[in-house]
Amino acid sequence: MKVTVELFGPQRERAGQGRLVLELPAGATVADAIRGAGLVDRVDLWVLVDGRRATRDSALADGARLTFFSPVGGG
Amino acid sequence: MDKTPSVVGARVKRIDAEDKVAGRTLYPSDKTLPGMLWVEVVRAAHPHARIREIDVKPALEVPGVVRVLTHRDVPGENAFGIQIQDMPVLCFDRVRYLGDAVALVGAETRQAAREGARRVRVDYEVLEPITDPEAAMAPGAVALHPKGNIMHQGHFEKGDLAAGFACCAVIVENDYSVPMIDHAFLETEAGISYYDEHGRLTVDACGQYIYRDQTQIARALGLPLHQVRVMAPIVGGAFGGKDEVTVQIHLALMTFHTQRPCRMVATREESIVSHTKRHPVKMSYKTGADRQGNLLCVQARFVADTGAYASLGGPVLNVMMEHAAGPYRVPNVKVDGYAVYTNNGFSGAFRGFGCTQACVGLESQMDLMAAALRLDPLKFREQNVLHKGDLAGLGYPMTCEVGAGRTVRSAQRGALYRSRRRRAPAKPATPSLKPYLRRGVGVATQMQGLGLGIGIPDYAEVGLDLRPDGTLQLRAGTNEIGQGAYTAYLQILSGRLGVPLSRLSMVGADTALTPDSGTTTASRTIFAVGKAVELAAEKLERVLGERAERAFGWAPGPARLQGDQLAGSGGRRPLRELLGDEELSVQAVFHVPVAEREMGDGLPHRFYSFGTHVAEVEVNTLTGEIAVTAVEAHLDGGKVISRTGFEGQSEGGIAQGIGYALMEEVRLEGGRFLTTNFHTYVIPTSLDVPEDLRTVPVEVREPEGPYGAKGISETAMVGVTPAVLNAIADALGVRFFRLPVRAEDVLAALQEKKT
Amino acid sequence: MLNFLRLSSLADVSEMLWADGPVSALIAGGTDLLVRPERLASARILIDISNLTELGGIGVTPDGDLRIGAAVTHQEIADDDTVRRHAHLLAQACAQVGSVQIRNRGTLGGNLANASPAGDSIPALLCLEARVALVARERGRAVPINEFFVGPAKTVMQVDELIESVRIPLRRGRWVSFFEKAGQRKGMCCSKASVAFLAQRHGDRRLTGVRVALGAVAPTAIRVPAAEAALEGQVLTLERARAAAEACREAARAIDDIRSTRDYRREAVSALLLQGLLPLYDRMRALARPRRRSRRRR
Repeated sequence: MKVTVELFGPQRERAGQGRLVLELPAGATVADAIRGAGLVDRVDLWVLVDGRRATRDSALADGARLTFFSPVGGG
Repeated sequence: MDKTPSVVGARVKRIDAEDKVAGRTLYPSDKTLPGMLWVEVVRAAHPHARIREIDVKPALEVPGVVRVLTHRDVPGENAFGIQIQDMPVLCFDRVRYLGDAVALVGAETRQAAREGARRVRVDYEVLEPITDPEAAMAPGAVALHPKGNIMHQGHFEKGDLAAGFACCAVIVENDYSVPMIDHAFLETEAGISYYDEHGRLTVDACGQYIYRDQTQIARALGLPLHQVRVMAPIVGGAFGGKDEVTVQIHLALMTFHTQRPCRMVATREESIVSHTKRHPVKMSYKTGADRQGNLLCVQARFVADTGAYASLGGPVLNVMMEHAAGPYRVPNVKVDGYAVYTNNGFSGAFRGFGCTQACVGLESQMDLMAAALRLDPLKFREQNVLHKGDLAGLGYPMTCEVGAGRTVRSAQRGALYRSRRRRAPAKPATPSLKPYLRRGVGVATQMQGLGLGIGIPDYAEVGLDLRPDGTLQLRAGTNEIGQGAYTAYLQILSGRLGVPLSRLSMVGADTALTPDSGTTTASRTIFAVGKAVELAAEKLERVLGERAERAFGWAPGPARLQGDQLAGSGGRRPLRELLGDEELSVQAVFHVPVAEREMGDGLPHRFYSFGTHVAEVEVNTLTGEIAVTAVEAHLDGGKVISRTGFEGQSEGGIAQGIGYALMEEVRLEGGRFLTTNFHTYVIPTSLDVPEDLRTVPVEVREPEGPYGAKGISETAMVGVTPAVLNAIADALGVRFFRLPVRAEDVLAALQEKKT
Repeated sequence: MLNFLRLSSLADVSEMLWADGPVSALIAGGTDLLVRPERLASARILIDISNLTELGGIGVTPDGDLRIGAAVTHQEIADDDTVRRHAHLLAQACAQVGSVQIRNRGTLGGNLANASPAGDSIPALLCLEARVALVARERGRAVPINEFFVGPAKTVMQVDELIESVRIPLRRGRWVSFFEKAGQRKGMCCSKASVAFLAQRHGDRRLTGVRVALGAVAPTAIRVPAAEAALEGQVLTLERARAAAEACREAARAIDDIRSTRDYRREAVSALLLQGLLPLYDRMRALARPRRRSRRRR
């Protein structure tokens, strides 16, 4: 299945790009997507799946929209 | 036409009012647990020093001291910071400001913890403190961090500045200096920590974003997120000063090592020394306009002293630069900004978030240009103000609703501005002759970005639980820091569902109970969280309709709540028939729309609030004392949800703006604080705030916000300070370029004028 | 460990001070003591004297003094008719101390014992030529207010003495007075400079018995004989007011500190005296005018 990943801030820097399309096996989780993006998992890597905070074991559906970012904003 | 329900925009009693007035509300500093340890921090003895050795043995000998922790006891990353993790949880090689934490002492009593903290022996090699940002930027300066002392810089250019200035009939160039100031929140940093019934390391402490704090704690302790729980529903004031982590990691660390509940409450002295401040900034403005009064050029340079660590210093500088040209159409703009590390405390988020400082410079310039062109100050602003679709200072189009011009016109119509030509005080304190009083009226127009900008997703998720009796509970992860947002959320919910406030309740800020609603900052909660509340209400009615369709065979469509009944196409049925004894929960998330084009550094914002302030001052030319005698605030925060909260934000903002203009300054000497309590760090009291305060809502509805609402908390403060400055200039014919303007400065300036 | 004692009589407190004076601290309103943890930390015994009837009360003594008990609060003084009649200046000064909360707790005795150069009641008491009645076990004395202070936070009090009351000689005639101060904000702050003024007003608009005292511009509050001389026996004119103000500036021996500067304090005492004298000048001219007019009519 295919999922898209949008990356922000430090995650974008680490991945070297702002947008990825990942091909993942059926039943893949958020943790698989992080590995698939070539990122080292860190506690400050936050993941949204279809706009909502998701845990590492959240299962992904085909066409899921993922967002990788770190909470580096405020104000 | 207007179908806004009456609860929206009304003056309603805050949901937390009775408990707070009766003293029943437990703030973080009120909370205790059986068997808890007091935790005290050993802070740096010097603003800049190398740590040679830390000896905790003498502290452990103090009766009652249970545990002393140093950097060796930090199991995860010994670093924190919202944007850049450049701040040690516990220092190991070097201290960079007086608030730096070197060790933690956990003891059975506070006295023992303090005595223990006093006895921790830290051997320092004292280093020369770096206190001048310009010197810190210079090549060859001792670097406080590996990448050098320029923590962040930004450069922006639009149009052709040289050509623009060549067309100007008037060019005004000045340097401004604004001081470091403290948030002066009423409750100092405080909280408790413990393991909850599920074995989660729980921190119940002040803060402004529980989910980010949870991450910062987990990162430092090397724990997965789900093993850390953070709550902070009620906080005794923050204004940005609790945006960065304060006590949270220290509390968690002590509970982690001792397995005991722990408590921390900072003294005022410790609080002032340790938490972030408003950046002191030196700025240079060069601005110009043509003979017709069209603003052609704004050139600005900011050097912000960010102190020892980054925190949100980068974003603050970015927002300062974003707002350098204010709410005006300016074809030629050049902005350069630097946020520089020094050993002067450390600076970060504070109501206004960089906009505050820029506005002091720009709005002074606006008055000076208007005077040089012999234009009315408000007319000059009105002529240049941004409208929807215009390009903002940095060149992006304003796609939100823009009420700047309407706030200016509202101010023009106001009684205060129309009275500005009257030179003598309108109402001297006594009827006797006071020829030494001078009256002045000043204005300032301002805009302020709403939310987190474009650099990271800005979203708010809320949960809504419907009980079979028809009562509802809203769950939102933002904090009640005194602003009254919880009440406003319920007003929105009540309006959307038609359910009276008395049947609604609120659970706030607990990572175990409430969804991630984002930060309690950036004037965003009523806009972002409020919109999520609206979405949740719509979703609930949709889900109820779907279930009623299945259960009762009603025609498709949303169902409405009426007391404990459900109403829809099939008439009315008791809610209990549908829900049984179960609750029905829905979640909804709102993503704040972002600008079409990203400019880098998280800029720009897509939504802004606007305001024009008019201030009247009476200056005593004998003693130099300045009294602010009236303020009118014409604020465009979109549709007002809570009139009480709106006015409260405005009046509080006026007080804070007066403090910034006339009295507040954190003074440092060689990196050491001279003003460490409210005896020497003077903030306004009710006596310094005029009785004559008028807050005029200029309701330009923003379709993306709930009922058309936008946030107001920062706009309510930022314009006040330059309006007061401009009023002083109007009264005396003498302008001040450095804040605060104290009686000492007034007398000195008047004497200089005489000679 | 700090012991908190509340004793039932002044005699008991005197005993206690005689025995344990060096390690004791007296507390009445607590408005100075409680915000200075270091002073509390140095004491082992805290003696609450706020309840002692001997330290309360405002009244006129048989020998013709206005007596104000040491534990009387600023607000009580400000509101008291006897004080307003006989020592209006003190009521004016006490009405400007701190804030409502501070005035309701803080006491006159505390203001004196604390001996801050900026204490607001002190310039008023200097003008009123008050005496401070001190008691100790088996002895008592009355110290003229101008001899009571030795320096910042220093008085002539012995370790076993406490302030019993303040005595102010009663005056005949019509007196005018004012207390003006400048602070970092309008209330709840330590004065940067203050001025107390007292004078007897005569039918021919002359002022006699002029007293001018300054606070916060010297190690202790001070009288300004040169300012007094500039006005004594004269009709108040703007020139004389300016001369007196100038004398205040000259007399001030102010310092730079966290709250203000030496230069400002010198300017401020001059300004404050002028600010107080201007309405007085106005009022006295206004008083004079109708009489002149009526004379003309005749």
